[in-house]
Amino acid sequence: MAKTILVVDDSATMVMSLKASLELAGFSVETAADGKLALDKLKGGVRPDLILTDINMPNMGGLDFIRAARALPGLRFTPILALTTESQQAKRDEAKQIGATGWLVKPVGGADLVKVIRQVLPGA
Amino acid sequence: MSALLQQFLAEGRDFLQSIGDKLLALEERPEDAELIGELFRLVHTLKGNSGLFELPDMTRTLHAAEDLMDAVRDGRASYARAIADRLLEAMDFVGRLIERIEHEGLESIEPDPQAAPLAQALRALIPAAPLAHQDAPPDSPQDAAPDAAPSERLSQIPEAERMTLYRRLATGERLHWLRYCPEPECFYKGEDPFFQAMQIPGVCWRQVREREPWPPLAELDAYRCVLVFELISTAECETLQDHFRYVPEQIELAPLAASELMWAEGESGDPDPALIDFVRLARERLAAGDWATLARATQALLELCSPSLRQASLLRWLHLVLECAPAHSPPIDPIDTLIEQLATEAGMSATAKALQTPAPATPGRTAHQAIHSELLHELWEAQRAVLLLDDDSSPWFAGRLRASAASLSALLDALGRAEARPALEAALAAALAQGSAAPLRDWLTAQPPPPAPEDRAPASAAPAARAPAERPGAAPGRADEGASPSALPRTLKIDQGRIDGLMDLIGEMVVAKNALPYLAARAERDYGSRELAREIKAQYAVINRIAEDLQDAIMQVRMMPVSFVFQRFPRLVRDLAHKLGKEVRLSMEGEDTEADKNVIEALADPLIHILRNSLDHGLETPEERRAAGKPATGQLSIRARQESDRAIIEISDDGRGIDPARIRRKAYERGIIDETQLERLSDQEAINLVFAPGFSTAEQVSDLSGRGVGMDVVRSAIAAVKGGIELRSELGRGTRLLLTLPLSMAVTNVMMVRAQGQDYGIPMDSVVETVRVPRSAIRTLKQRQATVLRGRLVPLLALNALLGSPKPPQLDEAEAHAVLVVRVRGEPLGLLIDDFRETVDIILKPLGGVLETLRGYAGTALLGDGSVLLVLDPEDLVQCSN
Repeated sequence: MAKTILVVDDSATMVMSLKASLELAGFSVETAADGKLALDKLKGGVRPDLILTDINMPNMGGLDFIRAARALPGLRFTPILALTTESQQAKRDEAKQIGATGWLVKPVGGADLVKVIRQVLPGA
Repeated sequence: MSALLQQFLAEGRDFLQSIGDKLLALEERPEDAELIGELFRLVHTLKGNSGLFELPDMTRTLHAAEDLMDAVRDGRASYARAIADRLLEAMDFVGRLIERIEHEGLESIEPDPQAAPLAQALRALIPAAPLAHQDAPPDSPQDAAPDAAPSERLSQIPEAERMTLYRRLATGERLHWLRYCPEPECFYKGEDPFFQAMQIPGVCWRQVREREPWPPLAELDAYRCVLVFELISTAECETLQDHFRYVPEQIELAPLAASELMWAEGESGDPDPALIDFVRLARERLAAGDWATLARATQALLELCSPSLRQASLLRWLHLVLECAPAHSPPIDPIDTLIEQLATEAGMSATAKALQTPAPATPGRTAHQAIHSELLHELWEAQRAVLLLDDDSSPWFAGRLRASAASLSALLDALGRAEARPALEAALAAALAQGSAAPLRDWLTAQPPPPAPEDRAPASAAPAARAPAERPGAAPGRADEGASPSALPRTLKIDQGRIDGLMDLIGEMVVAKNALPYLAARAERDYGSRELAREIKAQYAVINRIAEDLQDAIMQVRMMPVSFVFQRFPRLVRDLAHKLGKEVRLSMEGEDTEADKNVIEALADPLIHILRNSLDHGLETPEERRAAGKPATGQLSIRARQESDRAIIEISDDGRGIDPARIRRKAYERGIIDETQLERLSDQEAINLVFAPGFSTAEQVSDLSGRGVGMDVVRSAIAAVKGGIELRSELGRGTRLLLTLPLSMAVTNVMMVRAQGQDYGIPMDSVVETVRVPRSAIRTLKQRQATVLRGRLVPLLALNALLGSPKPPQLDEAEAHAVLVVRVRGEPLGLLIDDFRETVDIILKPLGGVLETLRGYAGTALLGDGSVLLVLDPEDLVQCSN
């Protein structure tokens, strides 16, 4: 069964790009436009194999989302990758501290993205 | 153009608009942290998106803008007008790039010389960043914990090399470390240190470095050897000593121990909950001697953490030690050391170790174990369900029993109840011998089940027991499907062409249904069937209602809020006011008032022109205003509202107003009016002269309005969408412009009139009234005809004459003329016609082909009986006949 990846980003462009790359690589993709919507999905029972989340988002940002997601049952070990930019070292550190598995620097090319995800997701 | 690019462009425009709005809002509330954060986020996201494409100029500019906003957000820079100016400039630049990509494609984008100065200007506003904001250099040496400092000799060897060496040592190979420091004067002794070093046998790692820092090039002595060779070789100690037998004092030689190679590199990460759990598990497994589990857990965590971290390095070493060790007796000490170093990484203290190393039989209730116990419970119940299956005769029955027993055995291990295993094995043997699952079932019933996790067990374990075939993963999947419809977008973007197509079809239908009354009339007249006529009329009423509803519905789709045009104004007004040195407060109301897309689009340019006029000519400078006893900041307001089927837009300012005397003088100077008019014109009439072609009130043509484009252009643009414009002004108090616009322009209501035996349509928008004027009431003044209506002199023109026919208009039986009063340039004008007819709704089609250039006609329309109606444009008609 295809691994499911939840992509959380407020930019529809970014979501479109990530979704296309991931689907090409055979993943099934769920999307959410901000942390709050993503959290609603998780609370609604969606259990992705991996979560990719932007940091800067309206309503609920990536950091709050990671923190809240980690507290949900069954998501303690789900890999969560933060999408950051090269200028966000502080955010990256904070993301790691609150439970992000790692981070990716935007923009992420399709091949790099899939490579990293395969590293983090055994058997994908 | 790819869908992704289209998405980027559309979203980019939205972002730019929001950024512009937020920047302006920030001028009002420069301390609003939320607004600043939002602004940063928008710029940041847009920059991120631009990185998806090859747009270095855009990314660079946005990056600078983002850094600037970041500085504002952190309080390193305080918000000022200069910042807004630079950011707006940068966003304009990005906007232009987006437009160019839209029209000419991504390939057309060439390096733009503007980008670099823009980015520089933005960066110039960022105060020097304090050190805390700079990225820490990776792999700084002080990251290595003192308790695990590498030996000086080996510190230069990268981890991958060290691991390779470790593997070789683990296979029993002997390795030696050697350092060769040729003496500085060696070249004069006929030595060749490089050759000497290259000839060393069995080298598996080597490096050459300088003994002391390199001197400046000018002082460099090329005949002095300052190199140090370091290497690791598989050669025996004696071989190496023999190799350097002439310079034994220049080498250091030592056998290499595996433990020397083992140290972690990389930066320390922040405490990671997964690592804490791992350390607990590892200590436990180490105590239990369960190497396989430890190796698996190590591998699993390794896959989760960033490879550049120190903890990852430690994990790699742990994995390597376990991997290289003989199956059942790995070296305890290095493993313990590595685990304790990991504990340090995880921020766990040594005392925690004592508390957290429980006996395997009494697992502590950490969150990690809670998850485990949930799984164990489910597995346990699943076995019960498997053993309850009653197809004892199936060929795979024995295999199933064995599989189930194996699972139970593993569960016992996991639960720390290994002592129960012999009983299980006995039960399995009995079950196999009897060909029945009963002995195993009995054993299972006798066993205490695994402790159920308090909170979730009943919900998750019960279904698993009832339906073991159902994968647990299926449940979330279904929940997902249930949730997804709500996530579907509720807005639909439709290509305008499709709506227009639909609109055309509706238009055709409105016309087609108009054929029914004709048909009814024929049924009665030609076939004498009054009943059929009545039925047709009844059907007509039904179809008419549906058609009208349908038309309304489609028009609703085409409706757009005026905010589409209004949203640019705050920026426009701000920029212009700054340029002119004026202070203005812009207020807008009724932005959600809607009108047809075409009307809204046609509105943009005239409104901008009006605003420019207000700012340039209407509003005074702060000094002038103070001198006139007004507040220094001028008021400019735009209000939109709907009144029945018209949208009203009112633009007013509290500026100096229009001076009728000056207008009169100007108009006279430019020959727009003659001397008699100069005296006779009322103030309002004088003010209306600003709409006359070629009139410009500014004494000095300014950079902004002026340029020969006057209010006449505004008026004709508004007239083109069948709108009207009204100007009111009070000297010294301000000016007010009232635009009335149709909500929709798809269907036109026209009045049909008859002239020279032919029907013509006149748009109802321009019709004031229909009157019958007795011939005696028509007077001739200076070869022109006129009559008095409601105390007002109304000029009369024969429609025949306007259409180029010499035939005089017909009189009715009462010797009266049918006069259609229309509004031309805001003034009433009577058209003498033969007779009035009904009004109809038509779809007006502009004249096409060779008729396109014909003046005086608004277009044509198809009538219900199939005939074509010519629709006149009275204003144009009168103008071209003059």
